[in-house]
Amino acid sequence: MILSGISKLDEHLNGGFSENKMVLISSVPGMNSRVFAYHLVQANPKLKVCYVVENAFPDQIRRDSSRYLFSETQFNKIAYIDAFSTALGLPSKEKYSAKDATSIDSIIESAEHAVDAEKADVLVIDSLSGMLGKNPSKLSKMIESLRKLSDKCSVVCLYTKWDASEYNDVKSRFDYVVEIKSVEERLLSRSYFKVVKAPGEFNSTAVPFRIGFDGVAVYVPKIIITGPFHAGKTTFIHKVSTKAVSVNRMGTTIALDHGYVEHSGFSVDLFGTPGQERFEFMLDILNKDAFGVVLIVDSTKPETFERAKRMLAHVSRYSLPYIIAANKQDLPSALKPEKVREIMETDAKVIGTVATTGEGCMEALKMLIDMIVEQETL
Amino acid sequence: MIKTGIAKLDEGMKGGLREKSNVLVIGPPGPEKVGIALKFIEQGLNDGDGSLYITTDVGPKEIEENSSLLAEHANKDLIFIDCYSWTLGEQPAGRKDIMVPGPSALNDLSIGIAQAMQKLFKPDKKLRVVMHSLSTLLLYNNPEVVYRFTQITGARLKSSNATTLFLIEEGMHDQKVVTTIKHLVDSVIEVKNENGKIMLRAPMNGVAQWIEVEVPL
Ligand SMILES: Nc1nc2c(ncn2[C@@H]2O[C@H](COP(=O)(O)OP(=O)(O)OP(=O)(O)O)[C@@H](O)[C@H]2O)c(=O)[nH]1
Ligand SMILES: [Mg+2]
Repeated sequence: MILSGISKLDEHLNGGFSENKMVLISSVPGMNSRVFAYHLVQANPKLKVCYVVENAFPDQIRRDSSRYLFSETQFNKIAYIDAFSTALGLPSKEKYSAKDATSIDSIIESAEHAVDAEKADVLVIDSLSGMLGKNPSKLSKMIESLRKLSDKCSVVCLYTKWDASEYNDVKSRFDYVVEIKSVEERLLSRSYFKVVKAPGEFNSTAVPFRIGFDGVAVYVPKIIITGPFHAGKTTFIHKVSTKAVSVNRMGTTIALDHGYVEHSGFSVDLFGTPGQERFEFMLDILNKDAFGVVLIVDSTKPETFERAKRMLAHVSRYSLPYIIAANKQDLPSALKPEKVREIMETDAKVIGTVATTGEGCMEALKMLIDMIVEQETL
Repeated sequence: MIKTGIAKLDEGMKGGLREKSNVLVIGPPGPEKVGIALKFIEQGLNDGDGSLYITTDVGPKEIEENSSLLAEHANKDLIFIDCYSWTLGEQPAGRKDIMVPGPSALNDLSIGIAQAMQKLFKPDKKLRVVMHSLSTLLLYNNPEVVYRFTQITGARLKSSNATTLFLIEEGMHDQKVVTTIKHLVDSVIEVKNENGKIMLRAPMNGVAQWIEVEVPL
């Protein structure tokens, strides 16, 4: 078994990657998939790793990996295959290098040579998309060569998804596919990974992470529960949470409701906003970790919808996914969810809830989570 | 509207470029395009906008040497992404720019842009970006890849409130390549140098006739 080195990912893979497989680590443009390769190197100290780099000097990868708190000795043992220098017309300083780094065949040839000479256990290709960029028509031939190499070692390819149709083709040729995505396309904040393909059983739940000094750090995303005064936010949070408290998190400035939910492998922190004028401020602080928003309205009080609409306008500045809970559906004067939607003039999903009994609350939350992790990025 | 900082051009365009648009600045090899880019960034620094300058065939230091205003604002409301210096060897001493391994490391460049945007972005703030230049990217990458890069990056930059100038050399690429890139942007500023006179036009922005302008360099 080859460990990915990210415990949540290993867990979702049922232990790790089986040997002699083709692994694709795919990311939307602008996300760092290299650090996933670093984790793999770090987690498998006994394995010999060959690392093909076609978009930077190997020294730059050495330097890049040393920015994180990984053990240097392991990274020093990597045999780099320099597939960059000769593309710039420069001689390579590495033991292994492609004679002509502009040619896919030449790169593959040098990789084959290195894998044999080093008796490699793992071959990393950084990156497959870069290599394909040199000549997209070579995909089949290249995969065929890599497949052959996978008899000798595991082949881990980093890939940037510039083109959706190419990606679908690429993806179908791998045994394992891990996707790295971002909830918010715009600033690429709020990233998550998920396993989308594996030979055996696997868990495809999305895992939010951040890249910090120690590499990939998995965290529990926040969902903000907000809405006008007395809409039922606190009641909602206490109803859906496994545990919930009202905390005074940051001194006296903001007090908020806090809950924690675990549902089908996905855990989220719920944060309820307090007094109405604080909402904008809260969102400005919380938005970096926030994955979505539930806006709760009191369906018996259409006069508060104006305020709710302004809150939505603020949410949309951060491109956060959101849904609306039309609460207090048990009361006779409650407007139906469709009516709430109409008055709110929104395209958002509106779901009827009764926070006091919990009716519809979990469904609302689940719906939001699905929206978050399904949201397709470019 | 977002001012280019070139008074006559802004006048002709009835106030400036459309905000959150991608603009191709095309002209024969020469310093005029960079002159326009510098004006554009300087205007932004004076207006309190955030700015990002991406270099691919010179270092940020050389850019700063042409504008003390840029030098003054670097690492504050101006961020440089340097795709050039590393191809020569070391990161230049004393600089804090975002470093990209080289002009073929397009994902690293995207990571750098996202990083810069996260730093500069504020919901109500205007951002200005200069991509200097697409020509270098075209030298080191397959054109198809550069199209996709331009398209995806352009769309993202727009949605983070940025107005972007993409510089490109005229006569260096296949006409087909230039035509395709023109389709990927919202408007075009054409530049030429006629016996020392710098002339501009921006047909899609209402400046159909060549106008003479003053640009540094
Ligand atoms: N009938 C009915 N009452 C509800 C429902 N949800 C909440 N309430 C009541 O509405 C009142 C306000 O509920 P809270 O949960 O405190 O509302 P809140 O949004 O946290 O209020 P603030 O924090 O003061 O803005 C309480 O008396 C709740 O019992 C519901 O679905 N039906
Ligand atoms: Mg409350």
